[in-house]
Amino acid sequence: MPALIAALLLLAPLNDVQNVTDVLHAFRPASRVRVVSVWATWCAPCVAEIGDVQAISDRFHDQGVEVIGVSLDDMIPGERATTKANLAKFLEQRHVRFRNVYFTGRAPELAEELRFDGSIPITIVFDENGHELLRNEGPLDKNWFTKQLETLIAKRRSSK
Amino acid sequence: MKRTAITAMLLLIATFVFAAEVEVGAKAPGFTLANAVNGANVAFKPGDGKLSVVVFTCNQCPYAKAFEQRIVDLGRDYAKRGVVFYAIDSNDEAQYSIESASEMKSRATEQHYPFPYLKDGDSRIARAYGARVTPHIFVVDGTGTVRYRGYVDDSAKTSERKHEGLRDALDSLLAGKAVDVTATRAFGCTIKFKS
Repeated sequence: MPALIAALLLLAPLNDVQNVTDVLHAFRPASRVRVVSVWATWCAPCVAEIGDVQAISDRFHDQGVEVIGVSLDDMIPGERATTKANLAKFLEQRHVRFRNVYFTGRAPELAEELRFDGSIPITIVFDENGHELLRNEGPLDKNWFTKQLETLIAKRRSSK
Repeated sequence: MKRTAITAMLLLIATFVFAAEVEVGAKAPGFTLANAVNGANVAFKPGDGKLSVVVFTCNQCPYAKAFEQRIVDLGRDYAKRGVVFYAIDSNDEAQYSIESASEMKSRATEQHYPFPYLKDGDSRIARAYGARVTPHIFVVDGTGTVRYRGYVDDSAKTSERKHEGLRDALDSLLAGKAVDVTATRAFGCTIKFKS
């Protein structure tokens, strides 16, 4: 990834989102495959996989794939500005370059909307119309997920 | 067509996953587990005539800890009305030493738990209930029937709380009324099951 783009992503604001519609609207219009990674810094398995999520973003970003992390850090009581600042610091320290948004709604409602069992991390792939294509519940299985994305992209190319 | 098939498959998977959770209206599983605080066995026998709350929680999950005081307060308040709380830690201590019985004892003592804190060392009881996260709540009536399952409240932040799932269920049942919302989506840290 060009250094300038990486630097700009690091400076990207942690915009607030309240529901799945907000999350899907956060993607760039040109992104044809939209990967939503729901996580939090307080979730140990989420922190453990963040390097793999970054690797997925790096691997596919030239193929119309965009990854957005949905941080649920706000679900723990605390002053929002402080929590957000800590999250930004964490992202910087971990060299996370994929964009993140900051969820301020209710976690159980997000779980209902996305139809997952209430535990994170979870990674869900949508097309540009918001239709779900793929999901990885629990810690990211990087190899499986990479293969699935490769297959998905190839199929979408051939169907054009 | 393909998308429909994928969606149908996902719905099937979702149905399978959530079907594992004990359904409202079903008989609750009983258990006998050691109380980490004093080592004594505590038995829950569904159908013992008591309104009971089974709380799956743990020591290390920040989200569970955010609800801890709330659960302690509810446990203390509702004990006065005859409701029995059982807190259960089903996390595998081999993966997380903070979930050991000695750490549980420390936590329960420091936080003044008014209910037993039970170690489900092989995660068998969490599996029996279909508990997935911490905290995850099951309310069982005196006949042993599950009457509510899901979250404590819809937000760990008092100021943003809209629905008090557990309190509403207990108040309804104690008043002899039907529970309005019998199932909610529990949210939290994944239970680290013993494999």
